[in-house]
Order: sequence, then structure tokens, then C-alpha cells
Amino acid sequence: MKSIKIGISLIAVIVSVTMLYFNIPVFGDSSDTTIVSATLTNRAPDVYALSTISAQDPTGGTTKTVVFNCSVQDIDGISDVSVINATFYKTGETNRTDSTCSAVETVNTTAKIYECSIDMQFYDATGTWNYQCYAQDASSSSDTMSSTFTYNSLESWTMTPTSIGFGAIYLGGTDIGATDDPITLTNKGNHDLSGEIKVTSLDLTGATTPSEYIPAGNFSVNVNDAHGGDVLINNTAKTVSGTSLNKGASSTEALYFYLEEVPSSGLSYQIYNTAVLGEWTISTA
Amino acid sequence: MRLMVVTILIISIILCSYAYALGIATDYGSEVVNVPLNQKTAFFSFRLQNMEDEEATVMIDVNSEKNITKLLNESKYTLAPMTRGSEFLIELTTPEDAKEGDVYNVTISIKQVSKQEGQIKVGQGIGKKFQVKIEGNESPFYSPLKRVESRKIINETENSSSPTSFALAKENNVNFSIIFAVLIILAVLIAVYLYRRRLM
Repeated sequence: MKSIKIGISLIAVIVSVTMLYFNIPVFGDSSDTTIVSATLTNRAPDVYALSTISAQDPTGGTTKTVVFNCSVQDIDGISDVSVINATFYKTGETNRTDSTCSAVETVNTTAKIYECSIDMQFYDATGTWNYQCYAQDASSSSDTMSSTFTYNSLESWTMTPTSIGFGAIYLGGTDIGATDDPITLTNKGNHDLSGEIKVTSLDLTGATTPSEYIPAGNFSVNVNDAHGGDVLINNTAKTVSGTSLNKGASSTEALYFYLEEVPSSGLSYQIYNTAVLGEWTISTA
Repeated sequence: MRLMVVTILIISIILCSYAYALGIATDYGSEVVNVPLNQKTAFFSFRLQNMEDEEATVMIDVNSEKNITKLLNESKYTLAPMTRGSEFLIELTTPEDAKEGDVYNVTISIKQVSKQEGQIKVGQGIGKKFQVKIEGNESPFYSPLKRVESRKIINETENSSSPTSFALAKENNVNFSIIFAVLIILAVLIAVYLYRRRLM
């Protein structure tokens, strides 16, 4: 009989401890049943899920729209939620936002799924970006949820024009600027191209007498409209000095080509071009 | 002589309107790629973009030390106007004599093929360089660290209609019930044991 009593006591102790541990209300306790008054308080919204964002490639020269879903619930009713917005952010970069995400699915009376759409710029930095969904109700209570995604690297730039000429030139002439100068390069990606611009040139051969040519080494390239720039080398990528082509909304660099000196002899009157030996190349690496 | 001069000037003026707008997208952090020594092959993806309103033809050339890379696609691409995402893959094969710490330089050159004529045609080229670094063998017990989110991040393909917090609450109740039942059973067993011991 004593054992039964001990067993029952053990059970009572275990049950009591368990109830206290898990904070289970004890029915009959006056502290739980005596409610003098009650005030209805606002419950904050809850951002309870975000969809993942896969790694994104920037789009050269324009925006890349990135879309994700944000699930929000509010026990007071989803209609109590008055603001749903989203932000992409990264240290040192301008925040990208969607000030009003759009409801795309009603889960029930207390929950909805919202679609947030944000435009990333082509010059936004590559790397890990944070994205955050923010929900706020009519009482200004709020909740946020955040995660990360990867914005990839894009090396992209434009150049125009794609051909240059020097008009009429004469034997022994010097410091002749290209008639199409400058060739303008514009950075359309998120990679800093400063100091990376190279020009590969080839000798210009005569259209009617290919054995006659103007050496590539007689030409120069410069970021300023002046002769005396970097002298080109036949069939070699020559780095242009002083180029600045950072990533940015409107980042450009101009290249001016000069024919430093026309050989004083050995050339007949004809057109000299890149038709035989091949075109020149402006490249970044 | 006068005829020659006129011809050159006309060509220059006509070609001034052309432009190139080539781009190549790569995965973030691909400047230095770590490859485990026991991984014989690896693949790298590159995406081409042509943001000009004219078709563009590009040539791709891949060079690497010890010829560890191979272009898996055609070396010549024709890109439609205003397109992006044309992918080409490069396969990397770890050299037989590779050892931990070895570094191999890889260069990819993309060059746009000119379409028009001119006195001096100037093409566009983009070069990408990255390094392949051989690191120690991957442990069979290796498990990448995963950040544990306090709340569930739902995959784009998953159904996000059921609130996760509800699922978590339900799971807690189940855990509590199991613990409670085990404790009761344990108490009963102790009581029975003590009762039988007293009878003996």
C-alpha cells in the first residue's frame, strides 16, 4: 500500500513539474478564471515566409527586374495590414525598393501572399545582397523578414563608332587625328574597367599594292584629344594609359587615335586599310 | 588622287553610326575557383549578352595553362538583337600531376566579328581571367555549413500557402504529449516495481 502511495505521489510530482515546465494552465485555479476586465490589444503582423531568389545576372545598360514572394499574416485580419514593402540592400550601395508589394494570393482571412518586384541597376555591385520584406498594420506595429541572394558579375560595354579613318594623308605628314575621333566607350556592366582598356593594332596595307603599308607603330591612342599618346604596337595588345571607366549610371571614356607620322617614302597613292591583315581591336581584360 | 580622297571620307561618314554592345555575365566570386584535388572535372558557365539592336556574331577562345580547359560549345555564336543568356560552358580537367596549392590561369576571350567595311575597322573584345586553385581532397564527411533560419525560407517552387508558424506550433504539442506520456509510464513502472518488491 505504501508503494502505491509512493507511486501516486511520484505521478503527482511529475505531472506538476511537467505542467509548470510547459506552462500548462491548471483549470480551477482562481488566477486563471478570475478575469476582472479585458482590453483588446493589437497583434502585430507576421512576415512568415519569403521565397528564395536565385542568383541574378545584371542586364547590360538597363535594369533587371527581380521578383519574390512575401507571405504575411495578421491575427487581427489581413485587412489590418496597411503597408507591405521590400528592400534590397548592400553596404556601400544604393537601396533598391518596391514601396508597395502586390497581393497575389489570399491564403485565408488572416494571411496573404504578396509579390514584390524590384529593379536592380546594371551597375549595382556584384556580391551578396540582402532582401527584406516589411509589413506594418494600422497601429504601426510591424514585422520584417530578410534573406540574401547573389547578384552576379557583368562585364559589358559599348563602343561607337566601330571604324575610323584619317581622310587624305600625305607623305611625311605628322600629328593627324582620326576623322571619326573619339571612339567612345560606355560601361554597361558592374565591373570597373579603369586601366583595363587595350588596343590591338595591325599594319595598314595598301588596297591595290598590299606590299606597301603604314606600320601600326606610327599610330597612337590617347584619352585626350592630342597626339603623343601611347604608341601602338603591331599585333600586340597595348594598354591605354589613364583610362577611367568605373561602373556607374553614365560612365564613359573617349579614345583618340592619331597618325603620328606618315612614312616619307615607300608609299604610293592608294587607300590603306585593315582589309588584308585584319581589323584592330579594343578590348578589356 | 582626288577620287581616292573622296572615297575614304564617304566610308568614314557612313560607318559612324555603328556601335557594339557586347557583355558577358559570370557567377559572383568566380575570379578564383577552388577545385578539390580529387575532383577530376568541373564546369563553368558564362552567359553572353548583346544589348545592341542589331545581330552580333562573336568568337570565343579559351586558353589555360596545361590546357586544363575545354570549350564545350561552339566557338562561334550569333546573338540576336537585345538578347541575353546565351550560355556557353567550359570544362576543366584537373591535371594528373596536380597537387594541392597549384594555381592555373585561365583566359577567355570573346571577340565580336565586324560586319562592315572601313579604312580601319575596330572590333570589340572582352577578356575574362580567372584562376583555378587546387585544394585538398574533399572529406567524405564534409558537410557545408548551412545557416539555420528561425523561420522557413520557402523555395520558389514550393507552395507557400500554409503559414509556417502553425506547423511549428503543432509540432510542439506533439513533443509535449510524448514527453508527458513517457513520464507517466515511468512513474507507473516505478510504483509497480516498488509494490512487487514489497510483496517479496
